[in-house]
Amino acid sequence: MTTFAAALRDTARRERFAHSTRQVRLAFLLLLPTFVVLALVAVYPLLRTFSASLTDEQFAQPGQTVNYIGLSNYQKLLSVQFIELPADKRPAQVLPTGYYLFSRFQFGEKTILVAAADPDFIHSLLNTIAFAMLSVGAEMILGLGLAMLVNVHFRGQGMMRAIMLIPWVIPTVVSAQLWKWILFDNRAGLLNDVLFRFGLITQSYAWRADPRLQIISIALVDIWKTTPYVALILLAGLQMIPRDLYEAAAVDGATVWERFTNITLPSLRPIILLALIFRTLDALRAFDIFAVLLGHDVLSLATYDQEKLINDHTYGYAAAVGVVIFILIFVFTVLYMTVFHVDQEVRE
Amino acid sequence: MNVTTNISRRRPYSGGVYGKKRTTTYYLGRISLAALLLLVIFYLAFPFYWALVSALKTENELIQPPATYWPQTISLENFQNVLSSPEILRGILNSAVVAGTVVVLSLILGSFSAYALGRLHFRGKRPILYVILSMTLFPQIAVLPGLFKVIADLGLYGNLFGLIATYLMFALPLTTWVLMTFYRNLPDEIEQAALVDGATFFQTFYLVLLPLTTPALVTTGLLAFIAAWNEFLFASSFTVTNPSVQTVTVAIANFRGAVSHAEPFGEIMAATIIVTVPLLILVLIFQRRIVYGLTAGAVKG
Amino acid sequence: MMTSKKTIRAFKVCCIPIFVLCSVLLNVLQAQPVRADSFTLKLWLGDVTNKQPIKDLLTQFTKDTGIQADVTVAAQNTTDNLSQLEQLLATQSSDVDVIMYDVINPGLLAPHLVDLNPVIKAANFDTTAFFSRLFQNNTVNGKLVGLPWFVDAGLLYYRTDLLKKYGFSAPPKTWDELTQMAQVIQDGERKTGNPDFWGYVWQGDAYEGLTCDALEWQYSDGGGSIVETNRIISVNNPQTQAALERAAKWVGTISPPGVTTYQEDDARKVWQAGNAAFMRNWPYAYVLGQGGPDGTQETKIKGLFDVTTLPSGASGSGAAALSGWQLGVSAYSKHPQEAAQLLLYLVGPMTQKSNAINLDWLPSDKSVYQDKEVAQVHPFMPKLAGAGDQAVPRPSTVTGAKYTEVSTAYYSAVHDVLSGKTDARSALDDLEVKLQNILGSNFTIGEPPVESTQNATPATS
Repeated sequence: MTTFAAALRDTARRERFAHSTRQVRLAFLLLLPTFVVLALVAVYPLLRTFSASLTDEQFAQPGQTVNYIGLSNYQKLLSVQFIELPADKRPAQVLPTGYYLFSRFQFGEKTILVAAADPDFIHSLLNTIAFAMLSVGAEMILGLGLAMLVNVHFRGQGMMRAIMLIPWVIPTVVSAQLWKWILFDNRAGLLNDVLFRFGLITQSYAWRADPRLQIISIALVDIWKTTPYVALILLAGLQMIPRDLYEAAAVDGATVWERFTNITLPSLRPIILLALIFRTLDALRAFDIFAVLLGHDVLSLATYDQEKLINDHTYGYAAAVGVVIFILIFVFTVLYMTVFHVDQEVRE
Repeated sequence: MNVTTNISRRRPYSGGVYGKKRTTTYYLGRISLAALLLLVIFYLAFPFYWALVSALKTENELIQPPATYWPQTISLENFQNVLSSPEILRGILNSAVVAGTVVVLSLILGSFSAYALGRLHFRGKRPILYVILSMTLFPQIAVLPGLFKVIADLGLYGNLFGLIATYLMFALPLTTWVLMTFYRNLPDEIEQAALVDGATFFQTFYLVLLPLTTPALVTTGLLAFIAAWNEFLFASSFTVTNPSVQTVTVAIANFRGAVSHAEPFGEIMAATIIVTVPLLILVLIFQRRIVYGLTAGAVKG
Repeated sequence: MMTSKKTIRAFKVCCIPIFVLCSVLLNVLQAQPVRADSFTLKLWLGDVTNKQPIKDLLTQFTKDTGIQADVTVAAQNTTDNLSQLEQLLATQSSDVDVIMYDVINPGLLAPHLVDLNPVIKAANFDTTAFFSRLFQNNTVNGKLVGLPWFVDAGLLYYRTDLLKKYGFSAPPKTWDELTQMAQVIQDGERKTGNPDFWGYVWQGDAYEGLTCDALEWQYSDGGGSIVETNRIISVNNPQTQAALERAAKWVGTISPPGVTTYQEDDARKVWQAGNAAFMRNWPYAYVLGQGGPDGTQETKIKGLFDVTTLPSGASGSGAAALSGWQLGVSAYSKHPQEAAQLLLYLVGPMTQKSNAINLDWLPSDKSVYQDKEVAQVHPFMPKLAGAGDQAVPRPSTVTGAKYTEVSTAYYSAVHDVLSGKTDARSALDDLEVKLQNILGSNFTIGEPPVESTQNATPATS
């Protein structure tokens, strides 16, 4: 049976080779509409964004003259300097023109100032990275645990999967509103009230206001929303591991932990990495969750970009921020595709 | 050959701890499993319950700490206010039209390109795949400045067509990618047999391949529908000039009560319930297909 | 076997019905009565949620003049509403005719609005009834871009029952008094078993509302108004520093730590649940606290509170941020004549009276405060008759299109001080330089005018 199928496939392959010119033309025709659409709504706007990033164009200001200013926007975004602060001076007295205080630290006896041309951008970059690491890390660990739990055979698994889809399917703007109320800073807010009732806190926490809790709070929301999604993807991977492997290991006397580290983790490695990358890229472009829960207080790269565009009207500058986000994500994508051979099954 | 059920029908590995013998260990294991599952269900579903309870409370009760876990008096006023607000209802209608059209268009175009990428042989396929996959990960905010101008130039500003066009930016790569994984997994023999019978390419496509991939189309369509329904950034940016085309996410984000400055959480929660229920119904009916679609691209890639 | 012609035909077969379907659906959705001679004026509404009274006014207008008019649906959130409006105007769309805009935006929107000076002259419209600061605020480089529609002013809400309970005979006159009274009441209420009680709630989130609150603190201390009308960046001064330090001390003592995420309605939710002794807010909270427009809702504080002017600081007087909404005619309107006619109708005293009664709006027309019918429905309104003229405007007209950027820099700096990320001195040092960079060389750094300390008088007497 298999040999027959193989023979047939062989013939098919030879025949296909004969028609390859025709295939190329057909492929081109089939791909054309997709290309046209994507060129129009993705590639061209991206090019427009890129060209605008080299100008000082203002948003929504008719009749302005737009100047080409080269890479100045990028220069401003990325400039950082370290300056020593003399004991008798205030930071404002030593900062170079166009630089603002980003942070300061002690280096031995000396106070070193970290100055940036756009500290808000550096902040948003760090906020985004902190959020991505925290939420994605937790989602991976919890997601794996949840996947293994749901992988156990029990009645109502379909129902369980449906419940796991609930947080994912609610629009982020909507669930962020819901969480805003859950995180309210007195006992009218669910989280404070629950912690009060269990005696874990004696004073309500301001989840969205306390600088130490802000990123953790929104990571908490993201974890609620995305962990089940990660778990479902990992579950699919778990279900592809042949049972025989575990049975053989059990016969050999391997413990549960050994089976986990020697079979489950290695078999899941590609799909864990894949989920990891997908989630990281998603977290790096987080917009809705930051916008609703932290507003202008704590910015992510995406909300910072929107603020520059809509609030400050600096169209060219916002475009430069957009390009930086794009490059960041593009680098990740290419890395991921080359390092993890996502295309290994693609028949050339 | 029903691709969608491949994974879900395979009996999952049970962990080896619970054998067929019904020992005490077995029952202890089942009980702790049940307890853990209940905990997870509670964690995932409770916020949604909280939205429902909050929507049923009067404002007086809602804002009064400590929180109550069941309304003292059940009030349907919040729901009535939301349902009498034309913005939310029109938002639902607009979202349905936009998401529906996006689904149909991206399935048609997507199945063409997915076929080409999944079953035809030509040079340069790898870079094309790179481009398409990178677009599913496209940072929408990065193209927003440029897209704003393109939309205005095309005269699609404040128009449902403008939204539909921009949504194809993420829906089309998504459908192409997921459908491609389906096409790739069909055995070669199918087409081969049809072609041997003298069918043209399009006869093969329509009569043989398309029926085989109907489940895949449903799955992919659902994913695209949910993505379009939930979209917010473009919707809030491009429907400005004509607020009567605003989608439901924008309507909710903009929703305020009858008084300026007020942010009536009860009503916002009621609106949340109202827009989420259609999605929940979809999920309950199609959970198996949605899960398969979500994982297909990831596992097979 | 397969040809390109067939492929193309197949495309057509697939796509045509879809596009037809879409077009039909879209046409059904966007159906407008198309008649060459008729048109409908569109009124862009800002911060208005209860649109029915406005719609009724428009119906009346149509009855009187035969001109159709309708409202548009836009975001009620002030920031979103503005960005939507700007995007709309950037496309030079004729979709709106009359535009309602915030008091801070005449400078920004001036290029998109029609000069109303000729219109007023032609119609012989009396503008002296408007609060003069509000009226002047709409003149940009000699061009009258709009007319004031209604006023909003910051008020101090206080609990009459709690003041009595803790032996205070009158609401606080100074910020220091407020701090002390709030602390006493808070300590007392906490002891009697209400762990959720706070002395003072206000708007501390990083948003435009914080610019209002902080401007009130610093102006009442004689710290000027951030950027003065003569293009002097005056924000970095000891008075402002002291004002910010005082406010930062409130956070976590008499105000909840979460106050740095509070917008208007977060503060009201705490206040209306009976969990605050004092609150800074706009007039809307008065109506809600008394049980809604019809007074039928139960609230915990019904009849137990009153409003007064905001306390004074080192300058010896208080200040309330000037706020409110204006109406202008879009420069891209296809019917500017009729639009101006509608505008004059909407800002007229009769319309304002109806809005005061139905929407609780404070009139921009001084005479309406004396109206007996208005006073009967809203006893607090006559008390606020002076609010419009004595309130402090934000530096929006002088900074024009840069205002939002200036305000963002300002409230971000204030917010950093409130949340303890930096101290007031460094924040102001930094802010000064930042404002200079935003505004360019036409502006210079300097001291607040001395007169600002003398001119600041209580918003009401």
